[in-house]
Amino acid sequence: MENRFGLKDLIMTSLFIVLIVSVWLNMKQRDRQRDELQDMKQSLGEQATELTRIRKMLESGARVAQAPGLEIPNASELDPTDPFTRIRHSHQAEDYAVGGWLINVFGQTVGKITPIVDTDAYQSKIEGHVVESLAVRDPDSLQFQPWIAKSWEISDDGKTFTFDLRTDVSFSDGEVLTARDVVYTFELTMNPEIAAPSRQSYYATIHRVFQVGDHRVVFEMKEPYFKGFEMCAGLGILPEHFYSRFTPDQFNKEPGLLFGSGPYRIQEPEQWKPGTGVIELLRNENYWGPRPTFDRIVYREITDETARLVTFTNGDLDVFAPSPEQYQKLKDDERVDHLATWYEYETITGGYRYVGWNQMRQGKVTRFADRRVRQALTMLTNRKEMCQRLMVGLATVTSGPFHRLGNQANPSIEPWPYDAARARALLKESGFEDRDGDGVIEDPDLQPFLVKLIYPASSTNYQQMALYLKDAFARAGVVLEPDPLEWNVMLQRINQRDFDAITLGWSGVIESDPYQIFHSSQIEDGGHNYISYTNTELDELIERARYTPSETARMKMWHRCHQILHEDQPYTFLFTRRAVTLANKRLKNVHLVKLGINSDMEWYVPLTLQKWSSN
Amino acid sequence: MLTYIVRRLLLLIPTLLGVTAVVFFIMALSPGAYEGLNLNMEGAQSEGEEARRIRQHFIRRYGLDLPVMVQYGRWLNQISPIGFRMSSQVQFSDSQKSQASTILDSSTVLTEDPAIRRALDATLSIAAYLEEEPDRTARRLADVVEEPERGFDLLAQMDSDVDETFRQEFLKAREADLHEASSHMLDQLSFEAATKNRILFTSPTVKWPDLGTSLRGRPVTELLLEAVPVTLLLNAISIPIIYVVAILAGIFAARYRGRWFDISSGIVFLGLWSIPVMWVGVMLIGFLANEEFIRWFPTAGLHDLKAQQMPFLPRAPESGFERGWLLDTVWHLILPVICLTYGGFAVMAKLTRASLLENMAADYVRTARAKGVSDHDVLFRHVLHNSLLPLITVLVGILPAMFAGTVIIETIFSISGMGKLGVEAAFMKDRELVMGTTLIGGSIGLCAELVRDVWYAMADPRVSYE
Repeated sequence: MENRFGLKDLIMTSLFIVLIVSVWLNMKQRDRQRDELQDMKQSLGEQATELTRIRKMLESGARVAQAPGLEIPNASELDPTDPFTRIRHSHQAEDYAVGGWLINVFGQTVGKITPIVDTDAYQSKIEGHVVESLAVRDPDSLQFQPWIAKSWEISDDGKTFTFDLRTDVSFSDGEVLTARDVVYTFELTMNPEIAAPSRQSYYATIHRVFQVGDHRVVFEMKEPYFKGFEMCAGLGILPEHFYSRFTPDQFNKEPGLLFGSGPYRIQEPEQWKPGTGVIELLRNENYWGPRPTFDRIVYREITDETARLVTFTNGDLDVFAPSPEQYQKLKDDERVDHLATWYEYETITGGYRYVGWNQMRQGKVTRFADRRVRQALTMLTNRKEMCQRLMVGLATVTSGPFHRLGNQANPSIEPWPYDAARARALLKESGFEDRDGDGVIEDPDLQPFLVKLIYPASSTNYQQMALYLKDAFARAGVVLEPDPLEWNVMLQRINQRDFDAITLGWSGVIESDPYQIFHSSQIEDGGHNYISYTNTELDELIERARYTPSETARMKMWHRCHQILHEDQPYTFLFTRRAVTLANKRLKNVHLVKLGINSDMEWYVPLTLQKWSSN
Repeated sequence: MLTYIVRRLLLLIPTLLGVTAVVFFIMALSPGAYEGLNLNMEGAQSEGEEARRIRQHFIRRYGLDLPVMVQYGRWLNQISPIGFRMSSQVQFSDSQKSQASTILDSSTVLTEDPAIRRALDATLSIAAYLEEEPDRTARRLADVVEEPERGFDLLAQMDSDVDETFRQEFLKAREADLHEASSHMLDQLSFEAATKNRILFTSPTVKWPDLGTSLRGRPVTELLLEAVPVTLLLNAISIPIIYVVAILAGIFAARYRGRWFDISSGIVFLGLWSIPVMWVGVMLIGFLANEEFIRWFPTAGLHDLKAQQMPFLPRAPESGFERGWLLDTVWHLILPVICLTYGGFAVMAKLTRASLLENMAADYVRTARAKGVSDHDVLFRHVLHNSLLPLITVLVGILPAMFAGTVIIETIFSISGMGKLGVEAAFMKDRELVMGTTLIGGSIGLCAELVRDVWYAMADPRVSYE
């Protein structure tokens, strides 16, 4: 065999070199095209900014012409119906500057941002910047304040809401928002071919929506449900001219069709793809309100807890919510104190944790049907200690399903105390005592008191809670067996009502409707009263309260509901969570309001601290 | 050889059927409900109204109310290139649509524009489902709005059981207000028509295989097309690294058997192999991407936040060095690739070493040495060539792994690849997504085996399939 460099080898080598060179040249070429495209985009962006500036100048010029000598009013003097009072106020700070990016983080990959279909908490955060509704709740007073609607009327029977829309609202492509878009949004949501079963059942009490002229919409309800107004006012308005281009099938499948009148926009909704690790919202240069502060709002998706923390301490995230374990570690870290400000707060929407006692298992009444047993189990649970030790102080004991900061909660109710002696006495009264001296209490038929507690297996926090309860109950002779389940299996067990006890949490809303969870009609047919709890007085009260439009009268009824639930203890209500957020110090005007932290529309970064920019 | 390949290819079909059937039946028979989607951010239950409606929606979409065997048949029909159409795939011509819409227009009850449009949509879905001409269905639907009780017959014809409470409520409403009742009935009919999707057994056609829709409503094909390139990129970098390093180390370990290189490489590789990747990943981020210690690498993702605006290639204008998109990606890939590679060296290196040593003890090596062939030539000309067989076996075993990601590494470094997609799908009981990954993973695995067998024959003249 001769090892000579032959003609064949020469040809092969030169072909190979030619190939590599051409790939390289191709890359170069692409690079140049990219540069040109960037330049074009940049100049287009500059032109758009310039246009906006000119438009603003013209607008202010026009105003001056109408009322010469008009001065910029102070924040306190601003029109209370102006939706942007708070935002305008923040713009008056001395170091206020437009620009910079706001960088948030999600702990999960967001699969879809198209509104209406399959919405979750992540999606609604994004949607909140892009789509706007008719009215929004003021974060301090919790009252609705006008937004796209400038005013509204509610009929005396509470069944008809008439909204008058502002005439100056436009979508991010400049098209004017009219009553037609509101009607269209409702029709789109209710279209049975749109895969939005949960939204459709949420809006099922709306009978119809119609427009009167271009800027007035009427919502007619089937019944005077107390949440009716919130439902209508909160409908995020979608533009007909954009969405009508898509068939229902496309709408169901496309991941990024998010387009609206909000201060930020998605760059190319039709091209949007999930899984890139970032979701970028660009400023809507056509925004009808004051110019949005940030050039971009970015949501990074960082799925690992440690990676999230390190990214934050590196200064690459502006807002970060540590886990309870991280909170304990970071609390005394000087580096973090230097970098960021801590915000600890409770909010009505934080929800609560509970242990539910199943009163009817597969057609048989269980021992939890006895109120005294439930009360005793609650008194065996040292909830204060739980909040301190398990939740590292980030929780407060709750006495019922209504959050103590909201108006629904009855302020005169104190949570059941931790009182093991009284609990034991109550258990004895209802027939449970240790009859054979083995330290476990039995009923008269010598059946030991054994509880299997189901909870989601994926969460260590629930695991700790279950073990804590096991320990606490053992002291009174009640045997609790933790039974962790995979989420889907747990849902199936819930649907079949096949468990003794369950611990989970409910998320909160500003005024919640106990009907879904505690009304006896929700026991059957997969409803959320899966502990089969029945109380006729409560049923009646809930039914009445739901259709009482007057807020003061309704609150009195909710207070009574709270009282009944406290005495009945269908759940052992555990605690409400305290939230912790760290905000990088470069963000200004971040402060607490009744609903938690104020809206990021009010935040800004002074010019000297801006480190990200679009170019 | 050719007949062998053809025979093997034909055998692929029943094997794949078996693989998918096992996975499908395990999925279908495992316990668990379908509302796992309605979790909010904190993992608490959302205040969901009517979980029933959501369940119904999924039942219809995936035909969950059918027997499991039939469900599997339905899925096979969906992925097969020759098969029956589903009722949702029926398209009507514009003239048929306008004909139906004129009939509906003439009804006295459907006065509002959205009601007519909804009625038309329902008409087309019902017509497709019942395999009728749209104008006939339109006439029936026009009757339904005039006299909504007729809707019950139509519902029965579509094999929907009518909820007794709905019937009661409906009959009450009927007395009160015709308009209300017809819109009620129209709602019910359109819901039934839109969500039911069944096989039309009349006309087998040639069609594109369809991997179906994931629980969150996105086509499985699209989800795979997003995740596969990411995983391929990671594996295409790390697998060659593993191979080059491990084979070289194995050769040298065999050549200098018992000397310091052999022993130390063995210890180091085994040591690396035993460190859990979860720990390494977190440590790498905690120490090499942390301002407090060394910040050489990014913490998450595959691209910088500003990657979109970067030029493709690195360059150094006056203002300083710009790393460009390409280098930025490489920079982001370093930590994940370290995690993917370090554990793989041990197996390959040991395998190479053992196989080489075995051959070096063979008679022909002694003969070659006796002839005076240099050590170098013996090793690289004779021994290495003969030691390739086991390496081919392992290499082919890794080909399907190119397609499968690793959920741990993807989670730690916030990369959306096949690992996370597959594991999340299994947890969510996202049936069509799991089946999609199984089908593709399975076919790649089986093809790889075929390639391996052919390769054997090429590498070793002793192997023959004639």
